[in-house]
Amino acid sequence: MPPQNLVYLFAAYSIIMVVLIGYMLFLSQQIGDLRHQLTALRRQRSEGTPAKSTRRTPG
Amino acid sequence: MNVRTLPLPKERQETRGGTLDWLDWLLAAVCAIGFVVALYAAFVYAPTEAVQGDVQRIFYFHVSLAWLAYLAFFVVFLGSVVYLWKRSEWWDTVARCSAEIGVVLTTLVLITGSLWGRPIWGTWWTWDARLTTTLILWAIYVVYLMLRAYSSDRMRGARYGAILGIIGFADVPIVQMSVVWWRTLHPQPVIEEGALPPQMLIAFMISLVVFTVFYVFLMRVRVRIEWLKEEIAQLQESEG
Amino acid sequence: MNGWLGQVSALLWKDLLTELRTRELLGGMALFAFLVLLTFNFAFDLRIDNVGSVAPGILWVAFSFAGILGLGRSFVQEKDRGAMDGLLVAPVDRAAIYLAKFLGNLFFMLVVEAIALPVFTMFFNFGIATPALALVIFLGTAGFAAVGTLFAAMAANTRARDVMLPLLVFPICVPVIIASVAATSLVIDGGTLTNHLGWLEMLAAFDLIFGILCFVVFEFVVEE
Repeated sequence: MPPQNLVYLFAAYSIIMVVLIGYMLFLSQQIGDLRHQLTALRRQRSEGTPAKSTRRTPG
Repeated sequence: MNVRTLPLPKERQETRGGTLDWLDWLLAAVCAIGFVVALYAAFVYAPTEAVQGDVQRIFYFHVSLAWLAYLAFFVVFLGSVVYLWKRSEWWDTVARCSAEIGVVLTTLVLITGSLWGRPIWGTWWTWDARLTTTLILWAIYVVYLMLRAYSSDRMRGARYGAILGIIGFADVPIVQMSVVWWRTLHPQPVIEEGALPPQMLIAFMISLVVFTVFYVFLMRVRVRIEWLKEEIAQLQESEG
Repeated sequence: MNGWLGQVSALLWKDLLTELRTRELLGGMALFAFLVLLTFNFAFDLRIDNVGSVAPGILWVAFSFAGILGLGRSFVQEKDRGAMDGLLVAPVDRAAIYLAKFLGNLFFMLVVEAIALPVFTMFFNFGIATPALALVIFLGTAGFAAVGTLFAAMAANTRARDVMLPLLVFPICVPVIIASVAATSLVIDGGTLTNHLGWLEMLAAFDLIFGILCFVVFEFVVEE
């Protein structure tokens, strides 16, 4: 069992961790942005000001 | 006089896509602990494989990811069928979110499979039946995501996505069959897979369970994001 | 039943007549197939020792690429000229529309393939036309057209429709390509039909399964 193979083993598990954690960070950032947008919209609505939509939601 | 000075009804002020609730945090905690346990099982508890050496340990996460990807795409299929039948937005959202998670998982399956294959087979890629089928599967659901993104309106996107979700899933066993027949015409490297020794089996089951919980957690979060988007869109529309 | 078949043949006849008058679709597809074959000659730099080994692949690439071209146009004409809504408002069964479009697409693809075969023989100095090959080509084209017709209707209503159609069709049609190329290869190598029954069965199974599936699902595409 040549030791060089361990590189592949650690690379595989590292990539899994990086991708999954990265995806979760991406999701949590989306939640943050969306909630921010939602609160802003709600505030505008209850204050009775005509809302300027600053950002269209994607997708 | 602005009609919009009327306050929102109470129910609408509580968003379905709010903070993570207690179940989400519980799932997150279970996953965090679970991953540590699964890693221990994969790296320490499971014995070293005789022929391939320690590289074989990629197997535990690689195959778990694959099974979860198949589950995710089955959920897409289920959601698609129920959506066409009942026109329930909830099912469409579930399908769409599951497809995205499935693509992420399948991407990891392909990458880890390639990293496993390189030292064992001596090549980064081989037209092994399973890898090839996984690649086609990946392609189908990437196209699914593109179709949803390129649809001109939400309802049409849901309908078209549902159709592709059904056709794509029905296609997979046929793709599998044709690729397996195709590959038996040519010599190919073989990964010996006899019965797993019990310790390896346990390590695999642990990682499978952890990934299943993780999938549920990701789905809850991802669906919540869609609800947030939906609520924002409705608010913007009602003021437009 | 007669009324339904009557609808199908009326729609099919309409498409065929339109094409007969303009000939833009067939001409374009045939020319494209010709150019694909031409490009393959350059791609292999005339250095093919064993034409038989690459012939199936070259043929099916030419067929499928030209086929996508034709499929892409099969609903776009209606959509652009606003005739689509007229078609849907008329008391025509949705499934009849699918069948008519499918048969039209199948017909156009077969015509182009019939033209492409002698061109191939000429370019590569390799004769291959046999009845067995005709059967393989028919089955393969039918599967491709069945899936392609459904997705063409979908893609016509999507942004970036020219991009979406091949992206939708090719992954789903992988079994068709694999089986068609394998069966073509066996035919070229001089097997009898019984030798490659397996691949033919797979093609027939795909055609049946996806023919029915696409037929049933089509109404969800055009419901508005």
